[in-house]
Amino acid sequence: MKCDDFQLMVSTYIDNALDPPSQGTMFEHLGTCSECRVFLRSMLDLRAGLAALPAPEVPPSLDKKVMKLKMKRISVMKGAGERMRALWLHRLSVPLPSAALIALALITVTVLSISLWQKPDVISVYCLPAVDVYAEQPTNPANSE
Amino acid sequence: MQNTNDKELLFLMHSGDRRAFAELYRRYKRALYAFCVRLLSDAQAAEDAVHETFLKLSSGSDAIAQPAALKSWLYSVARNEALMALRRRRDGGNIDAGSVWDDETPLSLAEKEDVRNLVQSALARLKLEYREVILLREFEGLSYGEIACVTGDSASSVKSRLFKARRALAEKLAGVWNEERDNR
Repeated sequence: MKCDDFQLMVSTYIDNALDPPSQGTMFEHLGTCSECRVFLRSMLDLRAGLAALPAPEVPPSLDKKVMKLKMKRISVMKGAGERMRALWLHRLSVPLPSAALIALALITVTVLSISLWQKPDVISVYCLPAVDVYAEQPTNPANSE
Repeated sequence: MQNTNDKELLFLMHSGDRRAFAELYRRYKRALYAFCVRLLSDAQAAEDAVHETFLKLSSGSDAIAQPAALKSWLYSVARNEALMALRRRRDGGNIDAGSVWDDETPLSLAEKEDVRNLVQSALARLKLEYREVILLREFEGLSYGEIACVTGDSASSVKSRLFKARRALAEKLAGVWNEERDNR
């Protein structure tokens, strides 16, 4: 490979578009070639020099002209309607099911709370200690006779 | 509207929503204007080019095959408008296909100016096909693929052109930066 090829790699590298194996090859070469090191430095200088250039201000006259433009609706309204429908479906696809789930959970909690409040016995039923139905029953002396 | 993406704004704009169009203009006006000014070195012609770009967007813009690629489409239209302006001015800069520069010695014309002006001057005199890729990459941050969409080239051709353009600019400005380093 010639220095031209490595310098092309340097240009690609500063665009973050050079793959890692090629980066290794490039840095290996840079370690031994002063000409390509100078090139890398000049690329970094150039980038800094270009970044320092001020951005031109948009003239207010352009704002006025563009804002006066009349907009043309897309020729077939049916198509526009379909696009709007698709847009709203896309927008609602996540929040709507989430809201429905939250609402369902809230309703369930509310119904349970009300039923527990109105029938406190339910609590005692659920909270009774477990009874071993197979345990030996105490015998009644009156019956044994 | 600020949280709405370009694709959604296009949908809304096509159904007649002016606010969507205004938002798209707000998003892209600075970048497109800066691109055109730097490409043309002429504020009025740049203003006209950007105006034409948004005129095309407002008048149906059925040329946008992929709404997701709106950014590339806008740059592509602005570039074509700028090229037409250059042709009208008859200084397209492609007369000498073998040269990288539009004219002879940019630095000699601006020797006494500061570094910024020297960079700007060198950039303005770089051959059009090299200047446009530098502008799209360095100032607008477009990827090789996006630049290829704008200019109608392949991504590898863009990469190669960028390299040549940078090398030419760096060689022209090497003395400036060396001097600046020596002065520090």
